[in-house]
Amino acid sequence: MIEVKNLSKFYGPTKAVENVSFTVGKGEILGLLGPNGAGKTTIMRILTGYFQPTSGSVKIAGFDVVEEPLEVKKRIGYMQEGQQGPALYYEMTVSSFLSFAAEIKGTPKKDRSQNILKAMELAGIKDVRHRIIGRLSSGYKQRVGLAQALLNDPEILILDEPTRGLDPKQIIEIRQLIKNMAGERTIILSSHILPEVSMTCGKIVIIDKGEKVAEDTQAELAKKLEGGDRVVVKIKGKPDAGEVTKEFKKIKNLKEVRVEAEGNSTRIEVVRSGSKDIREDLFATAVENNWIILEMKSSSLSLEEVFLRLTTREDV
Amino acid sequence: MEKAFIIAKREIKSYFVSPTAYIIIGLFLLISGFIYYVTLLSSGVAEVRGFLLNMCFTFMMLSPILTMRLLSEEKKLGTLEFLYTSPIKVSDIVIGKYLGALLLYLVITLFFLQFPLYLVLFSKPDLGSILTSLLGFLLNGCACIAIGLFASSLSENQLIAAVVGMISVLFFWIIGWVSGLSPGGVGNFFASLSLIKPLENLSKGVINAEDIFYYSALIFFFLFITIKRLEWKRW
Repeated sequence: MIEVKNLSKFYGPTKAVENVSFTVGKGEILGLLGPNGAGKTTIMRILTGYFQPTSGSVKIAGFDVVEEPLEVKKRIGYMQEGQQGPALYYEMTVSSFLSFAAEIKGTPKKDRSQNILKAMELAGIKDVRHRIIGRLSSGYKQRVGLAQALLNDPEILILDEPTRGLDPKQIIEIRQLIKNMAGERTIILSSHILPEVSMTCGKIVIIDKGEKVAEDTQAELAKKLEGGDRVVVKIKGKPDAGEVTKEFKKIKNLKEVRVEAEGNSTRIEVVRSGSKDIREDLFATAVENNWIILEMKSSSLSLEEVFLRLTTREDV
Repeated sequence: MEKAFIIAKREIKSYFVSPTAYIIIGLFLLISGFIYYVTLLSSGVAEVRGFLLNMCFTFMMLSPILTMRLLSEEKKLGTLEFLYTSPIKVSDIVIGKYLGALLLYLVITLFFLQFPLYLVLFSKPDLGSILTSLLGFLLNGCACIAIGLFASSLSENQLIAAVVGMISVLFFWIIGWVSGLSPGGVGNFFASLSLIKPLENLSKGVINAEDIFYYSALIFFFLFITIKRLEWKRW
């Protein structure tokens, strides 16, 4: 449905996006994740035809964004981020803005009011339709932006930080709304907040400093990229740290061993590199050396940690 | 083109939602009433020529207030991005904006018609020159709005757009004076750019193809570079 190939965008000599490729299938939700200023909005602006790419190509529903922008724009619902929240005409009422947007999008006259009503219902703004947009709370403004994107039943939704400025309850509602729309619509959303992406998106692309650093499903991402599970073992007494490291290193598929004394016991943290469970081996090694295991717990890397590892150059 | 009308419709509505339209119409009528009183009643001659020329100049100075928000505000709010990402051509956006401002100008002209009307009611002026003067007033306004629209595409700051617009319009007003300094080719060239000359011809009751062409060329040129300016910004 959406095919992004070697996309680059430079503002003069400044790099905004470089060599980013990804594809999104029909009905999928893709999350663009990255710290502020990573280039998420630039990518979205290229997808929607607002910016021209410096190089690379974007195909949406079979149409090239640069060659046939109008065909692409007809199929897209885009909720953008303005400088002060969503970009809307603040002097208009909700319903007059939506009917203006519907006209611009070329909704046939007979379907227009039906269409607007449906979008307002989905975004939950039916109660405020006669109010002036500028006087609405930021949560409602956000929803008006969403309703605008939903007009005309677009096949593809591109949402730039859809939950920014909302309160926790609204965030949950909007996420649910986005989730419900998957399947029939293809959605790309951006965020710098991890839980958001991990909760709503089937596929995640992590962007940092304009480059793609990872692309996968959430579970795969955590497992594959950072060597999977981490196990913490606590043993009684204080054996020699070097010895402990040496012994544990004998285990296959072990990436990292960290040893530190903790009161009367020693805490050993190991990170595995393969997908094989290493807890058995850890136990066997401990028994061989007559170390008494007090505690053993495993934890997978949270997406948060993966994200930080991928987007910061130093070791975390 | 159909979409340009949608933009124009929204534009004219938003003029009347904000105080802009009322302030401009009010100010303009106040000034025109004053000038009308001074030029006509004091001279006692039933002629609108001097009055209309003064009014054209007044509108030139006011027009940037009318046009400054057209594109600047959209840029600042980010709604221009909404328009760009909707299935509508940039040329339709620009023409729509232009038509919106033009409609407001027509409303002003409608109010303004009362002044020549008084003359017709209470004396016997030369009707032909009144009509051509009004045509001049209309065309002059159309040209000023096109220049102001371009100025508005330059900055997201409305004040800057207004100042640039005012200076550009003033430039087209006074450029003709160069011909007094250097007669001959160069002077003639600059004189031909001036907004005053065609206006003077029209107020005398003379309609030249040349003058009409001048106005259309000026309007077309500024709309064209506005479109180019907006398209270029996205590269």
